[in-house]
Amino acid sequence: MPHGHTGKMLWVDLTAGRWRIEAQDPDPNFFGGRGLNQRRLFELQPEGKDGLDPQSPILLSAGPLVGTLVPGACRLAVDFRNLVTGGVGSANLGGHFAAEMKFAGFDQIVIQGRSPRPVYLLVTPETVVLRDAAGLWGVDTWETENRIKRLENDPRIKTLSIGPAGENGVRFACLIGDRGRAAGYGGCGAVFGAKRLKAIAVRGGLPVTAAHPEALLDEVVRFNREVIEKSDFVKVHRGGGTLAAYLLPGENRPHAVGNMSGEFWDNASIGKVDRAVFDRRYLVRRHACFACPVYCSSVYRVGDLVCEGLQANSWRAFASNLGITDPEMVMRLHALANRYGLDGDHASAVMAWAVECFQHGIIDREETGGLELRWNDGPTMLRLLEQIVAGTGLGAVLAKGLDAAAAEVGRGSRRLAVTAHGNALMEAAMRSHKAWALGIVTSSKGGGHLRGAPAVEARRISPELSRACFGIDDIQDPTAYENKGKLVAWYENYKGVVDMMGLCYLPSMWMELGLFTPDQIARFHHLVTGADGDAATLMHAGARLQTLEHLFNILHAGFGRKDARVPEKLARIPVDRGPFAGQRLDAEGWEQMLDDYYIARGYDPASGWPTRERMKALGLEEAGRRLAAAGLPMPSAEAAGMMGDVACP
Amino acid sequence: MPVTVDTTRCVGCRLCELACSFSRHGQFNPSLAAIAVCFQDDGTLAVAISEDCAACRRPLCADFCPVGAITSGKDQASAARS
Repeated sequence: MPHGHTGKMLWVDLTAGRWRIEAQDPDPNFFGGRGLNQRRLFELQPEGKDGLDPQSPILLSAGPLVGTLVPGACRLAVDFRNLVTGGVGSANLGGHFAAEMKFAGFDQIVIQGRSPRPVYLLVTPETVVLRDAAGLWGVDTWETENRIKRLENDPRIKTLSIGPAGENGVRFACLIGDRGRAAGYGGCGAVFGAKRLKAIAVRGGLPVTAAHPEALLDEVVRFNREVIEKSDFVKVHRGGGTLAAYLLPGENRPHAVGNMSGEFWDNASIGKVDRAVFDRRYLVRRHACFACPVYCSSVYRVGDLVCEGLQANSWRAFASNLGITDPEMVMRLHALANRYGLDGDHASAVMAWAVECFQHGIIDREETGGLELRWNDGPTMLRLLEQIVAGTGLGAVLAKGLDAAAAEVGRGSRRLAVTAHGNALMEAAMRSHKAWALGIVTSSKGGGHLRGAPAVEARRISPELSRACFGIDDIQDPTAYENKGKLVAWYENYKGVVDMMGLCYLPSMWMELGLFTPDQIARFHHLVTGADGDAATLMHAGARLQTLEHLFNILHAGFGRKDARVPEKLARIPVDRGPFAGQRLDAEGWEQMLDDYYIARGYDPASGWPTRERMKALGLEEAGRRLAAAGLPMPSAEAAGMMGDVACP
Repeated sequence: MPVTVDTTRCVGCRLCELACSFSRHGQFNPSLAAIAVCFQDDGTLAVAISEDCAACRRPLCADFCPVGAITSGKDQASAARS
């Protein structure tokens, strides 16, 4: 068994009800996690087949650091064809599932086909079996987990399951693990639903080994003592996770307010639903993902609900973006989204859009099934969420996703929707923080801040530090456009490394420059696996992964520069108050950032496609041949006006 | 004397399980650990300590616990004597 890996993958054909185990050597180009998944997804995904088609696969992988003492190495990558954008579907969750999957004996699980009846997949060291799940169909994710543990008579089983949203084909249905961990973006819950796969249940018993165990132990102890325990980021997040960090008291920082119409929420509103209120009223205890000493999550109890995972995203989704100032309603919406298996970001985006449409008279009570939609109305939002899951009333339209809903409703409603590559956005600070906005829009999964959008942009990094860390001159002013394209390209590559290893993006350079530098990740990777790759090798692999995803997007969705547009609402409506008053995205600055970004990536700035030379440098010639065969030849550097391969790394 | 755990402080990271299995068996394998964190439906945690837990001079599980919830048996004995 190779160190850091189980050396095995599991192929499951749900149509035939069969499975097979294959040996799998460590991949020196894509490593594991999202890298390994995307490499196989590129090979397996048939052209012209929707993500719901039985022939379309969905892949799960845990990277080589998962299952070891490396702090925060707990993430599961889930990759598939995106139901919302048609391009890359790529989600990622923490919790305990990924480690348990490795302890059950597998680095990767590939699911294909469609079962004739509802099933769940049980994977242990002793057995792989498809169990009848007829009795679980219609059951929410929390109860599914409870029942599977009872059915298998094992309370330590870990599950990844769908709720009614995935069963009913809601295009932004997600997968839930550990009750509060979501593989959110792109509709992977509906992919499970179409395959009639209710859940995957894993239970370990096998080891993960390290190539240099004693040296690894020493390095983890040193890293914990000298980096983790001295980190300001860790200190803040131990006090309440991103919710604590996002809502620094008294700070008029940007939010997503009222369907992303504004970015300033007054402190009086924030004070009704801030982290201190949740802690005072509902806190049961702080909570950690597997092997994470940062323990940034919390478990809350609200009446009959015990729920976990309320972080800044959930708060933005169910508080500021809907204008809700009742903490119990925020918690109930968050809990219901988890139970039904709905991506909270997209759910918030469609509901907030519906409220704004109603307020503008674009839709009426007849279309909403009698609901009067308004801001700060938690009970009505709960009913609307139920409609989306059940496909009733306006919910039947909203369940198709924001872009499709805006197209169906028409009547000027498009102007109220904020999307990128057809994906709904539910983000703060895009008008003011330019690299953040660029990274969200250029995300290879269609949109969202968990790729190249650098959270450190808000920290006003000095030019000296910026040069030392990124080789980039000055990124100090978040509102400036200069140098931001390069910064986003750097973070896209870095996030690729984080995801291939199975690390968490929160306690990383994404948030604080001293945490999990590429050198540090390379050191851990060497001690765990014995492989010799240095930081530059890993960052090059991150660039390879990012470019492969762009090629997938070109092949399956036709994306290019033409699609990396400024969301119109963010250019039209400036920030009205607060320290960033007047900020908006302007077309000229945006185009300048895009030029810089594509050149930094080694792409043709005109089309936004990688050059042939860049693909060769990344070892992606085979992928290039597939695109050429599909009538999509990549431009040469000369034709693109570029000299050779200029990208870094 | 086995370790004791203050479950009101435990955050459920299971670093103790990894550290224990590594300390005793040289591999990361929670199923071989003498300590096990169990998640309860009401949001609380229970921690089970097996009879095998007694032999460590300096328990690695306590070293890795990020919240100081684990006390070694020897520390308890010292405290009792003083």
